[in-house]
Amino acid sequence: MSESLSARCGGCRHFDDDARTLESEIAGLVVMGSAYASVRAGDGLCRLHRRYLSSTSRCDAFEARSQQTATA
Amino acid sequence: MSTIPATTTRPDAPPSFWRELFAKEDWWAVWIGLGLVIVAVFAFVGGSSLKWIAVAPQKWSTLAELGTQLATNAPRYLALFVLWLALFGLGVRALGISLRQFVPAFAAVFAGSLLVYSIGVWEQSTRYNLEPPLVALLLGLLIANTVGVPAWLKSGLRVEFYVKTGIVLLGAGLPFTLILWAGPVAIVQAAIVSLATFGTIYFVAVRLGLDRRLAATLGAGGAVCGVSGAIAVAGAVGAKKEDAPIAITLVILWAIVMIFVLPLVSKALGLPTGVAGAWIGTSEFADAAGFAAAQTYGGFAGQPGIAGTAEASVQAFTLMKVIGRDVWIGVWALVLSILATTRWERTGVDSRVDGGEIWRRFPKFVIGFFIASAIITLVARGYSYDQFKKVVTPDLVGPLQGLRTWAFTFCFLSIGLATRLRDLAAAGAKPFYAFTSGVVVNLILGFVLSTIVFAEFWRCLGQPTP
Repeated sequence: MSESLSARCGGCRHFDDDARTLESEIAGLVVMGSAYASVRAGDGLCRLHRRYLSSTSRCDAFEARSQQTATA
Repeated sequence: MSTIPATTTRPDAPPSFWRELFAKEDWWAVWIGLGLVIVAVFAFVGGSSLKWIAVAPQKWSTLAELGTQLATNAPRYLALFVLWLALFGLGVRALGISLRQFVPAFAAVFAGSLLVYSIGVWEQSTRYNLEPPLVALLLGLLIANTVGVPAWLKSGLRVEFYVKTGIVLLGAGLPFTLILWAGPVAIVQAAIVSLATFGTIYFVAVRLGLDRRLAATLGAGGAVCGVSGAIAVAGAVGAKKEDAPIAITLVILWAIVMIFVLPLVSKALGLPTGVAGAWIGTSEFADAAGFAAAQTYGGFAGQPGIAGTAEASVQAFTLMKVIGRDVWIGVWALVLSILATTRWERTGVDSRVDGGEIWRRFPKFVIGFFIASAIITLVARGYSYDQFKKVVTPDLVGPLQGLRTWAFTFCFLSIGLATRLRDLAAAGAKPFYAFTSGVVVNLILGFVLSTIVFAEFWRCLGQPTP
């Protein structure tokens, strides 16, 4: 496994798991569902792959989200 | 060279257990529902009751009569509004939703719900089938799809928050012994139908050439728990961004159709309330829609040819939908995630999950439902059946059922107001055919199991000693 695969989507800058954003972008979600529900866990949208993913997913294109990063 | 965040909390780490207790709507439904149950128990033990605040419109025949009734009880309605606003306001604030937007929006939802509730208890409402859930839904749909819903109102349309709170309160009216008695049958019946429905949708979708991840998302929406099932499985398998909205559109459309079809067909067939509730629990697609259908059918109880109590319909629905289907979403997500990463075409993303997925996606409000049931069962332990009906029901269970009806009415009205058909994603013909094939299997199999195979069992619900 490459080094970048050790980091998960939840910490990637391409990953958007903000509940308000999800409710506005996923048509119909608020009608009989909710982005604040437990069943969503930490899922979010990957802007790079255009996929709806679990926050524990991984890929080679990971880029750390936080500005406060340190070189490992 | 890779980079790691320098902060103490890794942003990619799952949220801590303690943080999740206040960061998810499910837990807030538990806190609100159980908080009300505990206060009701203390009041009951102390010789008091929540009856005063659990006010509801009573039967009326003229508008003047209704006006007098509402004016007389105005302080109670005001107190009820403040109570709900405080509880839901606390929850939405913790979830990060603007309280400034929520307050006026919820005030409108409360006023609309009072109107719907009042129409439902009009003397002539039975004659015109004006059951409150149907009135709420139709009124909401009419407004949303004609004049439209103003932006300020949208933050008050928290369909899932209201229905989950209602489900926790519903636990207070369902003896724990009944859950233990009926739960296994509900699980068996729901498992048969869920597997058959998922298999049908998935098989037809793949045969029509649809992507397996879309097929699984459609299947979970039809077989497990509607929009929640679709969104959970879409995330677990790493579906395309547009897959979940397609499944959601189909779930919503069919769920709304079934809100009307299931109670009316059940009524035409003269099904007992428990049997109809089980069928609705097996064949409806979303909790909120299912409660609307089950409560509507409960409203038919006592009419010529309809045996059983009003509560039996909602109880059977809950056992089937919540215990039989909803609680298994984590297992579905885990299994499908493993299949997606090991057997399906690669996407460039590794979506593998572990066994913790079952707990992470578990609908936590169900825990509140079980605890509420256990609390009331314990409190009522020393009472005979007759004493229970004379003392516990009016002073403890009744007011909680009244509050539950309000939570469900907020939910039903919100469904209609939030459903703007032109805003839903275009589903396309192939997903429609695949999903609809599952609807047909689900309806027929659910009907056979509820009305023939387990009919006697569901008919017994609501009887004095199960």
